[in-house]
Amino acid sequence: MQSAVSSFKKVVERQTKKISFMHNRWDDYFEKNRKDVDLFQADEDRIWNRVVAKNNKPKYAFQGLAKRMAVACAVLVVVLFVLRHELMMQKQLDSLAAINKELAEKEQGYIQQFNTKWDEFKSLPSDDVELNQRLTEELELLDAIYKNGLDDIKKHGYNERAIVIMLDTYEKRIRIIERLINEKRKKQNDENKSKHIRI
Amino acid sequence: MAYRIVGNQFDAEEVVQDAFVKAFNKMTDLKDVNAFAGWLKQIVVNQAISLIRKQNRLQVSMESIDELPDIEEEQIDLDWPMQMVMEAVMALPEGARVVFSLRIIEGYKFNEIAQITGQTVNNCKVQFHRSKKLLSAKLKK
Repeated sequence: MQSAVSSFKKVVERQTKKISFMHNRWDDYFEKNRKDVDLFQADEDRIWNRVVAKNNKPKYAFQGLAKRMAVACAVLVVVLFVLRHELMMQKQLDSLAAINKELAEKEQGYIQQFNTKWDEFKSLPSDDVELNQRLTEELELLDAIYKNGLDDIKKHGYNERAIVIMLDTYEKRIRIIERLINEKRKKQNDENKSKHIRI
Repeated sequence: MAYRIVGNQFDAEEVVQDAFVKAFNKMTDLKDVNAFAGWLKQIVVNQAISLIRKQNRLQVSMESIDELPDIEEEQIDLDWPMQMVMEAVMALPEGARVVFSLRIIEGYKFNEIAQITGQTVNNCKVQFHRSKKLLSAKLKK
Protein backbone atom coordinates (compact mmCIF):
# COMPACT_ATOMS: atom_id res chain seq x y z
CA MET A 1 0.00 0.00 0.00
CA GLN A 2 2.79 2.37 1.00
CA SER A 3 4.72 1.68 -2.15
CA ALA A 4 1.57 2.35 -4.22
CA VAL A 5 1.11 5.71 -2.49
CA SER A 6 4.77 6.56 -2.96
CA SER A 7 4.73 5.70 -6.67
CA PHE A 8 1.48 7.70 -7.08
CA LYS A 9 3.17 10.68 -5.41
CA LYS A 10 6.12 10.37 -7.77
CA VAL A 11 3.82 10.34 -10.80
CA VAL A 12 1.97 13.44 -9.54
CA GLU A 13 5.27 15.23 -8.86
CA ARG A 14 6.57 14.35 -12.31
CA GLN A 15 3.37 15.57 -13.97
CA THR A 16 3.36 18.78 -11.94
CA LYS A 17 6.97 19.40 -12.83
CA LYS A 18 6.21 18.69 -16.49
CA ILE A 19 3.30 21.14 -16.52
CA SER A 20 5.41 23.74 -14.73
CA PHE A 21 8.26 23.09 -17.18
CA MET A 22 6.06 23.60 -20.21
CA HIS A 23 4.40 26.87 -19.35
CA ASN A 24 7.00 28.94 -17.58
CA ARG A 25 8.73 31.86 -19.18
CA TRP A 26 12.02 33.55 -18.40
CA ASP A 27 10.14 36.44 -16.78
CA ASP A 28 8.52 33.96 -14.40
CA TYR A 29 11.79 32.27 -13.64
CA PHE A 30 13.53 35.49 -12.66
CA GLU A 31 10.43 36.73 -10.84
CA LYS A 32 10.49 33.63 -8.70
CA ASN A 33 14.26 33.54 -8.15
CA ARG A 34 15.01 37.26 -8.02
CA LYS A 35 16.64 37.08 -4.61
CA ASP A 36 19.34 34.75 -5.98
CA VAL A 37 20.11 36.71 -9.12
CA ASP A 38 23.09 38.60 -7.73
CA LEU A 39 25.55 35.75 -7.62
CA PHE A 40 28.59 37.90 -7.75
CA GLN A 41 29.21 39.96 -4.65
CA ALA A 42 31.70 42.73 -5.14
CA ASP A 43 34.03 43.91 -2.43
CA GLU A 44 32.01 46.91 -1.29
CA ASP A 45 34.78 48.43 0.83
CA ARG A 46 37.22 48.38 -2.06
CA ILE A 47 34.71 49.95 -4.44
CA TRP A 48 33.71 52.55 -1.88
CA ASN A 49 37.34 53.49 -1.15
CA ARG A 50 38.00 53.95 -4.84
CA VAL A 51 34.83 56.02 -5.25
CA VAL A 52 35.95 58.29 -2.42
CA ALA A 53 39.46 58.52 -3.88
CA LYS A 54 38.12 59.33 -7.35
CA ASN A 55 35.76 61.91 -5.93
CA ASN A 56 38.50 63.61 -3.93
CA LYS A 57 41.00 63.73 -6.77
CA PRO A 58 41.97 67.30 -7.62
CA LYS A 59 41.40 66.19 -11.21
CA TYR A 60 38.19 68.13 -11.43
CA ALA A 61 39.77 71.32 -10.13
CA PHE A 62 42.56 70.88 -12.66
CA GLN A 63 40.05 70.17 -15.40
CA GLY A 64 38.24 73.37 -14.48
CA LEU A 65 41.52 75.26 -14.57
CA ALA A 66 42.45 73.64 -17.88
CA LYS A 67 39.05 74.58 -19.27
CA ARG A 68 39.51 78.17 -18.12
CA MET A 69 42.99 78.26 -19.63
CA ALA A 70 41.64 76.93 -22.93
CA VAL A 71 38.93 79.60 -22.98
CA ALA A 72 41.54 82.29 -22.15
CA CYS A 73 43.76 81.05 -25.00
CA ALA A 74 40.84 81.08 -27.42
CA VAL A 75 39.98 84.65 -26.37
CA LEU A 76 43.63 85.67 -26.79
CA VAL A 77 43.73 84.20 -30.30
CA VAL A 78 40.56 86.10 -31.24
CA VAL A 79 41.94 89.33 -29.74
CA LEU A 80 45.22 88.91 -31.65
CA PHE A 81 43.31 88.26 -34.85
CA VAL A 82 41.19 91.39 -34.35
CA LEU A 83 44.30 93.39 -33.42
CA ARG A 84 46.03 92.23 -36.59
CA HIS A 85 42.99 93.23 -38.58
CA GLU A 86 42.94 96.65 -36.87
CA LEU A 87 46.65 97.17 -37.50
CA MET A 88 46.10 96.45 -41.16
CA MET A 89 43.37 99.02 -41.23
CA GLN A 90 45.69 101.64 -39.85
CA LYS A 91 48.08 103.64 -42.00
CA GLN A 92 51.17 101.76 -40.76
CA LEU A 93 50.67 99.19 -43.48
CA ASP A 94 52.76 100.35 -46.41
CA SER A 95 53.80 97.10 -48.10
CA LEU A 96 53.07 93.40 -48.23
CA ALA A 97 56.15 92.83 -46.07
CA ALA A 98 54.33 94.42 -43.13
CA ILE A 99 51.66 91.70 -43.18
CA ASN A 100 53.72 88.57 -42.53
CA LYS A 101 57.14 87.01 -42.95
CA GLU A 102 56.17 84.82 -45.88
CA LEU A 103 54.85 87.77 -47.86
CA ALA A 104 57.87 89.81 -46.85
CA GLU A 105 60.17 87.14 -48.32
CA LYS A 106 58.10 86.92 -51.50
CA GLU A 107 58.07 90.69 -51.94
CA GLN A 108 61.80 90.96 -51.28
CA GLY A 109 62.45 88.27 -53.92
CA TYR A 110 60.40 90.16 -56.53
CA ILE A 111 62.11 93.47 -55.67
CA GLN A 112 65.55 91.92 -56.06
CA GLN A 113 64.57 90.38 -59.40
CA PHE A 114 63.18 93.71 -60.60
CA ASN A 115 66.27 95.67 -59.45
CA THR A 116 68.57 93.30 -61.35
CA LYS A 117 66.49 93.77 -64.49
CA TRP A 118 66.33 97.52 -63.91
CA ASP A 119 70.14 97.72 -63.71
CA GLU A 120 70.35 95.69 -66.89
CA PHE A 121 67.86 98.01 -68.60
CA LYS A 122 69.79 101.10 -67.54
CA SER A 123 73.12 99.61 -68.59
CA LEU A 124 71.96 99.24 -72.17
CA PRO A 125 72.66 102.43 -74.09
CA SER A 126 69.60 103.96 -75.63
CA ASP A 127 68.38 107.42 -76.55
CA ASP A 128 64.84 106.21 -77.21
CA VAL A 129 62.71 108.62 -75.17
CA GLU A 130 59.50 106.86 -76.14
CA LEU A 131 60.70 103.59 -74.64
CA ASN A 132 61.57 105.23 -71.32
CA GLN A 133 58.24 107.04 -71.35
CA ARG A 134 56.31 103.78 -71.91
CA LEU A 135 58.17 102.13 -69.09
CA THR A 136 57.43 104.95 -66.68
CA GLU A 137 53.73 104.95 -67.58
CA GLU A 138 53.32 101.22 -67.16
CA LEU A 139 55.18 101.20 -63.87
CA GLU A 140 53.00 104.05 -62.59
CA LEU A 141 49.88 102.07 -63.51
CA LEU A 142 51.18 99.04 -61.61
CA ASP A 143 52.06 101.25 -58.63
CA ALA A 144 48.45 102.47 -58.60
CA ILE A 145 47.11 98.88 -58.65
CA TYR A 146 49.49 97.94 -55.81
CA LYS A 147 48.34 100.94 -53.77
CA ASN A 148 44.66 100.06 -54.36
CA GLY A 149 45.33 96.55 -53.03
CA LEU A 150 47.01 97.98 -49.96
CA ASP A 151 44.10 100.37 -49.36
CA ASP A 152 41.67 97.47 -49.70
CA ILE A 153 43.54 95.52 -47.00
CA LYS A 154 43.64 98.60 -44.76
CA LYS A 155 39.89 99.04 -45.12
CA HIS A 156 38.64 95.44 -44.99
CA GLY A 157 41.49 93.54 -43.36
CA TYR A 158 43.55 90.69 -44.76
CA ASN A 159 42.17 89.24 -47.98
CA GLU A 160 43.78 86.76 -50.30
CA ARG A 161 42.49 88.36 -53.51
CA ALA A 162 44.19 91.69 -52.82
CA ILE A 163 47.44 89.90 -51.97
CA VAL A 164 47.34 87.95 -55.26
CA ILE A 165 46.71 91.14 -57.24
CA MET A 166 49.55 92.95 -55.46
CA LEU A 167 52.02 90.13 -56.04
CA ASP A 168 50.89 90.02 -59.67
CA THR A 169 51.97 93.68 -60.11
CA TYR A 170 55.54 92.60 -59.37
CA GLU A 171 55.34 89.81 -61.95
CA LYS A 172 54.04 92.30 -64.51
CA ARG A 173 56.81 94.83 -63.69
CA ILE A 174 59.42 92.14 -64.31
CA ARG A 175 57.78 91.00 -67.58
CA ILE A 176 57.51 94.59 -68.84
CA ILE A 177 61.11 95.41 -68.10
CA GLU A 178 62.25 92.15 -69.72
CA ARG A 179 60.27 93.04 -72.83
CA LEU A 180 61.80 96.51 -72.96
CA ILE A 181 65.29 95.10 -72.45
CA ASN A 182 64.69 92.84 -75.45
CA GLU A 183 63.46 95.78 -77.49
CA LYS A 184 66.54 97.79 -76.56
CA ARG A 185 68.78 94.87 -77.51
CA LYS A 186 66.97 94.36 -80.78
CA LYS A 187 67.31 98.04 -81.63
CA GLN A 188 70.97 97.94 -80.77
CA ASN A 189 71.48 94.89 -82.99
CA ASP A 190 69.65 96.59 -85.86
CA GLU A 191 71.82 99.68 -85.46
CA ASN A 192 74.98 97.57 -85.43
CA LYS A 193 73.86 95.72 -88.57
CA SER A 194 73.11 98.93 -90.43
CA LYS A 195 76.55 100.28 -89.44
CA HIS A 196 78.15 97.16 -90.93
CA ILE A 197 76.17 97.51 -94.12
CA ARG A 198 77.25 101.17 -94.47
CA ILE A 199 80.88 100.17 -94.08
CA MET B 1 23.70 44.52 -12.66
CA ALA B 2 26.91 46.11 -13.94
CA TYR B 3 28.56 42.68 -13.94
CA ARG B 4 25.70 41.19 -15.96
CA ILE B 5 26.04 43.93 -18.58
CA VAL B 6 29.81 44.24 -18.94
CA GLY B 7 30.53 40.56 -18.26
CA ASN B 8 33.63 40.86 -16.09
CA GLN B 9 34.47 41.89 -12.54
CA PHE B 10 37.12 44.47 -13.39
CA ASP B 11 34.95 46.49 -15.77
CA ALA B 12 31.90 46.07 -13.51
CA GLU B 13 33.74 47.62 -10.54
CA GLU B 14 35.01 50.44 -12.73
CA VAL B 15 31.48 51.10 -13.96
CA VAL B 16 30.05 51.16 -10.44
CA GLN B 17 32.77 53.53 -9.21
CA ASP B 18 32.30 55.91 -12.12
CA ALA B 19 28.53 55.75 -11.70
CA PHE B 20 28.82 56.74 -8.03
CA VAL B 21 31.20 59.59 -8.82
CA LYS B 22 28.83 60.77 -11.55
CA ALA B 23 25.89 60.48 -9.19
CA PHE B 24 27.68 62.57 -6.52
CA ASN B 25 28.47 65.26 -9.04
CA LYS B 26 24.95 65.33 -10.44
CA MET B 27 23.12 64.98 -7.16
CA THR B 28 21.47 68.37 -7.68
CA ASP B 29 19.73 66.98 -10.80
CA LEU B 30 17.79 64.54 -8.63
CA LYS B 31 14.44 66.17 -7.89
CA ASP B 32 12.73 63.35 -5.99
CA VAL B 33 14.73 61.60 -3.25
CA ASN B 34 12.46 58.55 -3.50
CA ALA B 35 13.59 58.05 -7.08
CA PHE B 36 17.24 57.74 -6.02
CA ALA B 37 17.51 53.96 -6.57
CA GLY B 38 16.05 54.09 -10.07
CA TRP B 39 18.13 57.15 -10.92
CA LEU B 40 21.35 55.49 -9.76
CA LYS B 41 20.43 52.27 -11.59
CA GLN B 42 19.97 54.26 -14.79
CA ILE B 43 23.40 55.86 -14.36
CA VAL B 44 24.98 52.43 -13.83
CA VAL B 45 23.27 51.02 -16.94
CA ASN B 46 24.31 54.01 -19.06
CA GLN B 47 27.86 53.85 -17.76
CA ALA B 48 28.07 50.11 -18.46
CA ILE B 49 26.64 50.41 -21.97
CA SER B 50 28.90 53.36 -22.68
CA LEU B 51 31.91 51.27 -21.66
CA ILE B 52 31.06 48.32 -23.89
CA ARG B 53 30.18 50.63 -26.76
CA LYS B 54 33.54 52.35 -26.30
CA GLN B 55 35.20 48.96 -26.51
CA ASN B 56 33.11 48.24 -29.61
CA ARG B 57 31.83 45.03 -28.09
CA LEU B 58 28.14 45.54 -28.73
CA GLN B 59 27.86 43.96 -32.15
CA VAL B 60 24.82 42.32 -33.67
CA SER B 61 26.28 38.97 -34.46
CA MET B 62 23.99 36.64 -36.34
CA GLU B 63 26.35 33.72 -36.71
CA SER B 64 25.03 30.31 -35.75
CA ILE B 65 21.53 31.56 -34.83
CA ASP B 66 19.96 29.63 -37.69
CA GLU B 67 21.72 26.47 -36.68
CA LEU B 68 19.86 26.33 -33.39
CA PRO B 69 16.43 24.67 -33.17
CA ASP B 70 13.47 27.06 -33.14
CA ILE B 71 11.77 27.53 -29.79
CA GLU B 72 8.05 27.51 -30.16
CA GLU B 73 7.42 27.85 -26.47
CA GLU B 74 9.77 28.75 -23.68
CA GLN B 75 10.44 25.62 -21.70
CA ILE B 76 11.86 26.69 -18.42
CA ASP B 77 12.03 24.85 -15.18
CA LEU B 78 11.38 27.19 -12.28
CA ASP B 79 13.58 25.00 -10.13
CA TRP B 80 16.68 25.27 -12.26
CA PRO B 81 19.48 26.46 -9.97
CA MET B 82 20.23 30.15 -10.44
CA GLN B 83 23.96 29.43 -10.53
CA MET B 84 23.48 27.24 -13.62
CA VAL B 85 21.16 29.71 -15.35
CA MET B 86 23.38 32.73 -14.68
CA GLU B 87 26.45 30.88 -15.90
CA ALA B 88 24.58 30.20 -19.14
CA VAL B 89 23.48 33.84 -19.34
CA MET B 90 27.03 35.10 -18.77
CA ALA B 91 28.30 32.72 -21.46
CA LEU B 92 26.00 34.32 -24.06
CA PRO B 93 27.58 36.50 -26.75
CA GLU B 94 27.92 40.15 -25.66
CA GLY B 95 24.93 41.63 -27.52
CA ALA B 96 22.60 38.79 -26.65
CA ARG B 97 23.64 38.86 -22.98
CA VAL B 98 23.12 42.62 -22.69
CA VAL B 99 19.70 42.56 -24.30
CA PHE B 100 18.58 39.49 -22.33
CA SER B 101 19.77 41.00 -19.03
CA LEU B 102 18.14 44.36 -19.67
CA ARG B 103 14.89 42.82 -20.94
CA ILE B 104 14.34 39.92 -18.54
CA ILE B 105 16.35 40.70 -15.43
CA GLU B 106 16.15 44.50 -15.32
CA GLY B 107 12.70 44.71 -16.91
CA TYR B 108 13.39 47.27 -19.64
CA LYS B 109 11.16 47.43 -22.72
CA PHE B 110 12.61 46.86 -26.19
CA ASN B 111 12.31 50.51 -27.18
CA GLU B 112 14.14 51.51 -24.01
CA ILE B 113 16.88 48.95 -24.66
CA ALA B 114 17.22 50.21 -28.22
CA GLN B 115 17.62 53.74 -26.92
CA ILE B 116 20.17 52.75 -24.28
CA THR B 117 22.27 50.55 -26.54
CA GLY B 118 21.95 52.67 -29.67
CA GLN B 119 20.63 49.75 -31.71
CA THR B 120 17.34 49.42 -33.55
CA VAL B 121 14.35 47.79 -31.83
CA ASN B 122 14.49 45.01 -34.41
CA ASN B 123 18.15 44.32 -33.67
CA CYS B 124 17.32 44.11 -29.98
CA LYS B 125 14.52 41.65 -30.69
CA VAL B 126 16.82 39.53 -32.82
CA GLN B 127 19.43 39.52 -30.06
CA PHE B 128 16.77 38.61 -27.53
CA HIS B 129 15.44 35.78 -29.66
CA ARG B 130 18.96 34.55 -30.16
CA SER B 131 19.70 34.67 -26.45
CA LYS B 132 16.64 32.54 -25.71
CA LYS B 133 17.62 30.02 -28.38
CA LEU B 134 21.15 29.77 -27.04
CA LEU B 135 19.98 29.48 -23.44
CA SER B 136 17.45 26.75 -24.28
CA ALA B 137 20.06 24.84 -26.22
CA LYS B 138 22.56 25.11 -23.39
CA LEU B 139 20.28 24.45 -20.42
CA LYS B 140 18.49 21.50 -21.94
CA LYS B 141 21.74 19.61 -22.49
